Amino acid sequence: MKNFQDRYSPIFRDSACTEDACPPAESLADLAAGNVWPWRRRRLVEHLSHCSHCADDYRVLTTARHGLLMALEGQGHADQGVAVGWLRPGLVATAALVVVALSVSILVQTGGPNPASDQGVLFASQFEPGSRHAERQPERDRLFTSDFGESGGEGAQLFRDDFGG
Amino acid sequence: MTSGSDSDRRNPTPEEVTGKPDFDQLWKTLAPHVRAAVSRHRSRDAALAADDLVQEVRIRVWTVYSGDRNSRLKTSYYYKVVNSAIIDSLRSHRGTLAHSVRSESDGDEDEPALIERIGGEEQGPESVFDEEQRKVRLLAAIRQLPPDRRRAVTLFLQGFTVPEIAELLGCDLNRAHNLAYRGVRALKESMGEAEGND
Repeated sequence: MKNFQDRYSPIFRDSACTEDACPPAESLADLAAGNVWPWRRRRLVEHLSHCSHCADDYRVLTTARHGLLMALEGQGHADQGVAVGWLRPGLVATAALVVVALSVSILVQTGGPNPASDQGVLFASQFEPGSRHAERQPERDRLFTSDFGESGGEGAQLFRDDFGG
Repeated sequence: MTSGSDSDRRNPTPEEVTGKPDFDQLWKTLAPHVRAAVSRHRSRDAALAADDLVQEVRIRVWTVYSGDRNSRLKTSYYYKVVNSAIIDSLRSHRGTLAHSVRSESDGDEDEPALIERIGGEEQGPESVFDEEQRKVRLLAAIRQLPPDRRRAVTLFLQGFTVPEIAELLGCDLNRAHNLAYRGVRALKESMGEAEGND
């Protein structure tokens, strides 16, 4: 590959483009910084592949890139604050929306919390007529008394009968 | 005493006002990288005029620095300013000297030897014609390549390395290597057949 490059590169580079069609310096600077959209990058790369002047100029930017960035960041003024400055409210808002949406979806799926049911369970276990009965049928009592917050009696018996309990 | 403190208050340094680093200090860290990159430019014009180019870049950066009222020096912004200034300076200096393209072999050559070498390499009309024909065949062969390979090969022929091609095409190293390698192989076959037919 290297031999091919040495042999044909001068011939190919000799067919340079007209400089009128070259992109502005800012575009090459953006490309070197990686700040271009993919479609724009494709067009710039297409130009670099056919324009020897711009290809040489761009190579200067890539040669200097690492050193320049290190030097600028070495000044202790990295622009993280700029990025975070506008990103932070957006991120917080997005995160809040996601949390709210998840909460709503969970509530819809589970039917929501029912504080009365917990109290109903306590009542049922405390006022059951016999401890042996409570041991034998704890699930049935809990199920129906907890839904309506009743402590047992006719209502509970009614539901047990309706569902064949 | 009082007038002295008043004058201090009237003429505070930019660093005191904005909290930005001193420009001389900033430029001291940037200049070596700009100079080194420009000095390695393929164009002899740019390499020989490195001092002028660096000075032009310095003026551009100073203009932006002095007009920047932010207390923070933004890395990406200044990086773009420096890059734009480098490109503009290179373009403005293009073609200011003869023999602009520098080959890899003439780096240590002194002027008399260079003149002798250039005189000895003068091409006759036949070799110029052959060269022209080869260029036409090469460009025709490149046009026949699929777009991805064509892009990779033309970048390769422009002197970019495989990692640079990968970065430009936005793909990984293996894909860039494959595209360039297969493109070169196809071109070799085309050029070999064409030159064999002549």
